[in-house]
Parts: sequence; structure tokens; C-alpha cells
Amino acid sequence: MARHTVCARDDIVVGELTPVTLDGGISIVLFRSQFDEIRAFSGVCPHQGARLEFGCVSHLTQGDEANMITVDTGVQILRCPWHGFAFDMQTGHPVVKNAKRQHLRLKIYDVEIDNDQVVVVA
Amino acid sequence: MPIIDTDVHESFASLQDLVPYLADPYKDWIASGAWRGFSQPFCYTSPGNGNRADVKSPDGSPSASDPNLLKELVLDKYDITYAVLTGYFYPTMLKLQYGLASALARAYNDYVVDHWLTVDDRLLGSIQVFARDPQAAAREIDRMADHPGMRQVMLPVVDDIAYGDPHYRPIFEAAERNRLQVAFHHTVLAEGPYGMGLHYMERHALLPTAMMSQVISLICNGTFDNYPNLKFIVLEGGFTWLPSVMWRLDREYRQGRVEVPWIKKLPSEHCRERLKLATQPTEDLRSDEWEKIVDLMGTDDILVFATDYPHFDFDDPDASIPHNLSADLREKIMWKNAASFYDLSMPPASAIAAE
Repeated sequence: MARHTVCARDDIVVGELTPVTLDGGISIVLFRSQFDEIRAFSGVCPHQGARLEFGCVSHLTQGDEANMITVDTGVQILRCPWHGFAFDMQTGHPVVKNAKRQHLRLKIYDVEIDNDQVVVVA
Repeated sequence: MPIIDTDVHESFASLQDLVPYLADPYKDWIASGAWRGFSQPFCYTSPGNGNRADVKSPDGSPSASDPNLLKELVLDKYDITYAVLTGYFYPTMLKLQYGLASALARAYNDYVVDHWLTVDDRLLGSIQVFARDPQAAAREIDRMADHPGMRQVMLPVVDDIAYGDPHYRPIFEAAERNRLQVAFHHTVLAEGPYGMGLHYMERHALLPTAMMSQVISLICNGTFDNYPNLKFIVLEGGFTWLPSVMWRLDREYRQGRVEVPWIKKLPSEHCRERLKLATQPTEDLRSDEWEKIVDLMGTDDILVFATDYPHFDFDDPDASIPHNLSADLREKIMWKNAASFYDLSMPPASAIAAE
């Protein structure tokens, strides 16, 4: 594993997906939450390779009755810009699991803050 | 080998047969000939005008109205263990006069009990309802459910109802509380996505698309999730399309769950666990093609045999399902899957082994 200093902490806007490329060409998207936590994900969707910097971050919808949807603010999801596949940002697991198909787990990288610089461990 | 025929059509000889079971004012309306009944909006092109041409009642009445003919030509001839009556007369095809339509459903159910279910223990029944009034349909289901021969609620596929719509929930609630299953069968109103086409052949080839639409509607609107004890059977709607629909729905769910979070399982899991498809018309698959389709379905629990007696596209129990299928698969299709679906007591194991 290598430590990659990718940008200054303040370069990342809260709520936006920020793309960076690590040495060696690994694509990453960084996300800074409203609680100031910075997380790093693969920048490429494991489904068909879409660039996740164009995706969106939202919350999981829930509901037991047709046409009654609520938003579960406890689960944040990253959705692919192409097909809308959704990944749990805490675990990287797909929201819809399909045991008979490729698992499609989104890779999550460790992030460290070093002198206000964002360091991705990959 | 036991055989369960999941789609046999019974009928009355004429609407007048329902008069004893109707109350006024509808009794008077029907008795006076104020309604001539349903008629198909096309010509049949088969030699028997929609039915097997060799099936004729001795008195010239419609063949589907003679239980003794059914006994002779199906139950006894093929040693059928159970046959499920699925009707010919579907009041849901009426688009107005709801009171009349519900009364006709009630009368028809009483007629079937008196004239069919009492004739032979091998016959099982479907509760007919007028689905456009779901509360009335639920009351009819509650009324009929205690009859031991009634095993399912019949929802006819017409041209303007997708049964997943929450409007129809009282029907599914009633079926579930009465431990009945739910069957779908097309009617002469059923259409493909662009109507019936311009030819009978076109209309007949399009029927599976109507059934695909129903399965998609039920899954997407949460019917499978809301009624976890219900099971569903699609009759005479084809079956080779199921792998495609399952793949498509799973894919759509992965990308579109945000809109339908009430779906709690992969649609394919719902289908594999709780959907049956009747084999008739069998489309003349070779045995290797049967095996492939079942393999693509991911389970051999889905297919159930049907003859569709007395219709022209009748599937012969001895000829329509290849004998060189694996014994396990053939048994599942011919009776085991249906016995499980309808919770039927089958003949003792010794009787089966003796065959």
C-alpha cells in the first residue's frame, strides 16, 4: 500500500464528488460530507466502468407500501451516472445484491488528513 | 404417473343456466334475454371454431358445458389425478353495470359447484369474481372460500387492467386470508401492446405479452411483497419468456430501486419462489430446449402441466411433454409442482410406485 497526497482538504467542496488520479493511474472520487468527513472511492463504477465523478450522492429510499417512499438519512448512497446502480457509501456494497451476478462492490480507500492535505492509501 | 391438469375450461350451455342462481332484478334481466352474453371480437380459424373439432356433446350443446364429456375425454382417458376448472365466463369483461357483473360472478360460482364440482372429486374450482369492484370481489371470495374444491381466485386478463394496481388489493387480501392462490388467464379481450393485431394468429401469438405485463405489474407494485403467503399461476400465457422477464426486472431493480423500495427481493427470487406457469400451449420444444429453458429459469419448480381442454390448441398429456426429459423434471411438470402449489393430497406412494 502506498500513501498518495492528492489535494488540500479545502479543495474538496462539501457534498460534491471530486475526482483525483493517483500515481499509477488509479481513478478516485473523494466525497466530503456535511460532517466534514472525507472518504475516497474508486472513481470507476464496477458495473460497466462509468466515471463516478458524474454520479450523485443521496440517501437510501425506504417503503413497505406501494407509492409511499421515505428517505433514510442514515444510509448514504453513491449512484452511478449511467445506470443508477447504488452503492452504500459506508460499506461499498450494492444496495441491490444479486448473488447470481457479479457482486459489484465499490472499492473504498482509507483516507488520512496530514497537515490539511488529503492522503489516500491505495 | 399422476397428472394434474391446471387448465380445463368448463361452461354453462347458455346464460339461462345461471337464472336459478340470480336474484332480481338481474334474474329477470337474464331470463328475459336482455343480455346475450360475451362474444369474441374476431373469428376463430381452427376447424372446431376455437375448440377441438372432435369434441361434441351428444345433444349438440357446447362441448365445454358437458362434465361427462370432460370425464370421458380427459379425466378417464388420461387418468388425470386432478383437473382445475378455470372457466369460460369472466364477468370482469363487463365494463359497466357493476351490480349485474358481481351477481353474475356469484351465480356462476354457485352453478359450478352444483354442476361441476359435485360431479367428480377430481375436479377443483376457481372462484370467479368481478374484479372491477374489488370489495365485491373480496366478499365473493370470502363466500366461496369454504368450499373444499375451490383452490384459487381467477383474475381474467382483459384489455385495461394490470392487477398490480393497488386498487385491486382487496382481492389479494381476500385470497390470502382464505389461503387461496391466484390464477391469471386471458380472455377474448386480452391484447398485446399494440392491440390484438390484424389476424387471429397475431392476436394468439401476442397473448404471452399480456401475461408478461401482469407479472411485471404485480412485482413492481409490491403485490408479491405485500402478500407473502400468496402464490400465483399464469395459465395459457406461455413460459419461455420468463427468463427474459426475470433478467430484465432484476436489472431494472438494481438501477431503479430508488423508486420502488417496497420491493424487498430480487424480482427473479419472487418469481422462482411463488410463480407457476402452465405449459400449454407447449410450442413444440425439443427435449433439449425444455431442459435449456428450465435451466435458464434457475429452478424446475415453476412449470405445471395443462391441457386447456376443450380448446383447439389442447396439449395431450401423453404427447406434449417429451418423454425423454429427465424423470424428475417430467414428474415436476406433470404433477409435483401443481400438487405443491395447490396443496393437494396425492395418491399413496404405493399407488404411484405401482405404475
